[in-house]
Amino acid sequence: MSKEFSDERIGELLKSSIQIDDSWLLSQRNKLIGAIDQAEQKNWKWRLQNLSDQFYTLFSIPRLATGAALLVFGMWMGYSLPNSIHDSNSEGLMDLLANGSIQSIQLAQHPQNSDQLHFKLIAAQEMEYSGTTNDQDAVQLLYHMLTNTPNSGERLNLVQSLDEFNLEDDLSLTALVKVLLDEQNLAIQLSLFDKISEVHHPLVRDALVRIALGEYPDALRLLAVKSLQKFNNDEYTQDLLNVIAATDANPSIRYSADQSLLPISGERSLAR
Amino acid sequence: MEQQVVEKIRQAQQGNHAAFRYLVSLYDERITKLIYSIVQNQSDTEDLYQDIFLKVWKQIHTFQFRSDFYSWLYRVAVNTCYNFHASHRRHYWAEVRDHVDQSAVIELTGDRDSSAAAQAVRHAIRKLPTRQRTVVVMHYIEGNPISVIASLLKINDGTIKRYLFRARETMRKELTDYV
Repeated sequence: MSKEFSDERIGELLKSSIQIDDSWLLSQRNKLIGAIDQAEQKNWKWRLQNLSDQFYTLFSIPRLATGAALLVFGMWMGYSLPNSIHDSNSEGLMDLLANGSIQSIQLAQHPQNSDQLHFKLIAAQEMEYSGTTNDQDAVQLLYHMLTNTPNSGERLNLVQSLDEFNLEDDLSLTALVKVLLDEQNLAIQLSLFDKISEVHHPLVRDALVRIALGEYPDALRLLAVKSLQKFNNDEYTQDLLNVIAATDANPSIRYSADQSLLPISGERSLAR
Repeated sequence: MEQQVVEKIRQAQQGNHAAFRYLVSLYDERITKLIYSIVQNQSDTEDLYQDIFLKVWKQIHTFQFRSDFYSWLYRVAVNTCYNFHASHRRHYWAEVRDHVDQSAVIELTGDRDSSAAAQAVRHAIRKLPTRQRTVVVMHYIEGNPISVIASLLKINDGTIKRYLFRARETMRKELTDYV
């Protein structure tokens, strides 16, 4: 290549100025905020509605509403401090402060009297609940615990503590699969994956398919493709593995998909 | 990083839309130019703009202030562009679009003295698969060394060198035809 078309010259030629129209940028920003609003609405209210029928049957809106009502009732029980507090008798309040039941205190201005200090307190009441791994309320509590712990280290500990339990029935498996598909932290995903991938269940097969085809880390996708081997006695899984073996961008995943086809039919993959 | 940007990031991490919009408006022009350089058409640029910033919104809580925010954003953008064609191929079996979108919102203006050569190079770039094009843009336009590209895209140096070699061969042929 002549000097005129050296690397440096190519770089200069490529660096043609690109002008972006301001109104285009503005429209893209508005569209983005709309998309974020929609995604958040979906996640909050309709997350479970986007799952397959099997998920939706178990986590339907009426059941969520019942759970929410139970939660509100529990909170009302916690709020229901003895009359002595409303009558300015502070003995019960001091007990609650002493035993750590008061979770939060806010100071609000009294609507009529600015000399009055008005507090809003949130008090918790310790409760215990037991249920089998196929008990809906127990599983909903489990799901809430796994998805509402903000610290990923704590979530990982929670997942690892589940090793002691047999969570292979439909209800708990549904919850774990849902958590796995929505979890963003790879270490937690891998830990959950270890728990459920050995279970021979249609829910697990569907989850493996979603992972293999979805926007998940390649490490997880590779494991999913390998695990699909135990489901390769059905045509759907065979077709899927053939497609992945032929088209996946990751050569290791293509190879694993090819290998996952072998035991059933002896049929070779389309990809060579 | 400026303290104001740090504050906006923290607010966005708490779910504050206005703070996130502020961050988007700071960086989206640069990112859009990067995207367009790679995909070379407006329609894909729009799709990728939405994909990238939606990913950033979903993952912003993972940003730990160990690097500059733009570096982190850049990493998300190039990885999304790098994998864009592959995911499109999974879902769409149509042939790759091979035209330049000359819409007024994204315009290319080149050096007049070498506009023909610039066009030849750009035409050559468009012939490349998206992954090669991503590497070419990151190396020639953004000025990233091979080691940085390897780290950002998580591919090995050999693959990058192969992409650059093939790209140069394609451009050489295109420029020879121009000459």
